[in-house]
Amino acid sequence: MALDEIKTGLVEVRGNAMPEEPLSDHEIIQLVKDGDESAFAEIISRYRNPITNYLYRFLNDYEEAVDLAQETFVRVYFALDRYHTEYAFSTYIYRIATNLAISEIRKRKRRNLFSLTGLFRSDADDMTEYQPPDTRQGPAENLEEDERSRLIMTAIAALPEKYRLPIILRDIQGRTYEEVAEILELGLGTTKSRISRARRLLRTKLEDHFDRN
Amino acid sequence: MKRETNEQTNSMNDDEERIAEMLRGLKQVAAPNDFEFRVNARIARGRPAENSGWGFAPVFRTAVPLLLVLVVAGFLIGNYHYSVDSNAVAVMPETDLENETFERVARDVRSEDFVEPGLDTGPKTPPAETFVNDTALAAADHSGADVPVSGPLAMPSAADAEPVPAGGSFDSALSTSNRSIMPPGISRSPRIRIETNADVSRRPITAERILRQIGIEAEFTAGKWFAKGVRAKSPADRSGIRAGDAITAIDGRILGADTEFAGIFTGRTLKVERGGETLFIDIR
Repeated sequence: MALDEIKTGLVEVRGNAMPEEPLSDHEIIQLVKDGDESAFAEIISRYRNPITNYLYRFLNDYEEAVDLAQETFVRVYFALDRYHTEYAFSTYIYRIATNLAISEIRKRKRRNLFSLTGLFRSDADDMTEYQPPDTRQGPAENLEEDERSRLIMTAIAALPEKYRLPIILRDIQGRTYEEVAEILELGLGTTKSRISRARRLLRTKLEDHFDRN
Repeated sequence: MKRETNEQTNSMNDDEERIAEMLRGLKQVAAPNDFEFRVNARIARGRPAENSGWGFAPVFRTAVPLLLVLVVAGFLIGNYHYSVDSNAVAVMPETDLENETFERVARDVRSEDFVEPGLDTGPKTPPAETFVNDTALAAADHSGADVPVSGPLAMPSAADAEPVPAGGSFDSALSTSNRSIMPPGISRSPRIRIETNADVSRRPITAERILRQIGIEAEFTAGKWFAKGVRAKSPADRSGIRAGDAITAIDGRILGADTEFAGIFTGRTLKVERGGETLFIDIR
């Protein structure tokens, strides 16, 4: 009984909902829409790590990823009125994060449009999109990654954007092909082909690493 | 052959699978502990600014000052050139050499002159000039011969005459300029033209300055500008202004002690009081 009385604001608002059964994303969104501000904390709690991880793998910059992840939730919050349950909420939030990340990449390119480093790229990198290096301090201690992971990250960062996004969503974030297609607003066939192509490109880039192992 | 292709495909699929496995094995990065707090703080601050693609604010921040600088620079450069060109008209000749140059410039102005009937108001002294009638012009145009002109205004002096190219036409008749082809009653004399812009110091155009421009040393006494003296060979001298004349108006604009004109002043006909009678004299 004592335990029953210790309820979070979220559970209290749910009223008759069973605490043992987690609410679906759509139900939580509906609660937020109905005025329960604390319900949004549950959304943040569910998606903050996946979205941060997704953006980090895409941007290869932890601080920027965290910043954009926060921005993603802010945008979700202010756009809840426009959100329809036509798609899964995960698809919706990933799409917002993707758009923000793409905008960020374009901003970086503009900032470095006249950078000399861009002019002296080697031809071997033609297949890759130029991205200015992140000169900021490295991520926190929870980002300590081994040499192998850094190698993979470098190879992913060198992939063109159209290959990088689907392979991260599919292989790192574990989204289904259908979800990836919906997030990126692509056809299913195109999505599969891009993921396959991205893996082959990665295979080529990591050839030495493969051979050693 | 087919078997080789299948083996290659299988090998590729294996590689892809290994890559996928490798990616799945990457460590999941976690959000910082204060993530939720920072999101809520941002939400409390309000709606985020919409992402405007190219980010027009920075573009405007750069473009607007740049545009202003270009406009100001263009204005200054244009004004400088304009001033340099106009100085030729505005500078008052002091020496004989300058006087000659001034007269030459005055002739150039005359050659580019055009008819502005509105400026020729009031009675005028009949212009002592000869004009070429339409029949003569038409004949010249067809024949290619120069138009015969005569009269006191035909040329200021033989030395100053510009040679008329052989086989001149109507255009050449116009370009030689000193010959009047206008009907009687419309003056072909050079107008007075003074521009404030031509003066670096931006001095206002006073009545005294206008009169000095055409060669009259004037003094304002008894409510009128009296010519104390007229410089020899100056436009005023050529037009017949004498010392002692009172110049009361130019093109109907009365000249008072403090009369000033802004911008560009142009004039042609002086209202002169001489010995109790009023004359209207065109500046030549």
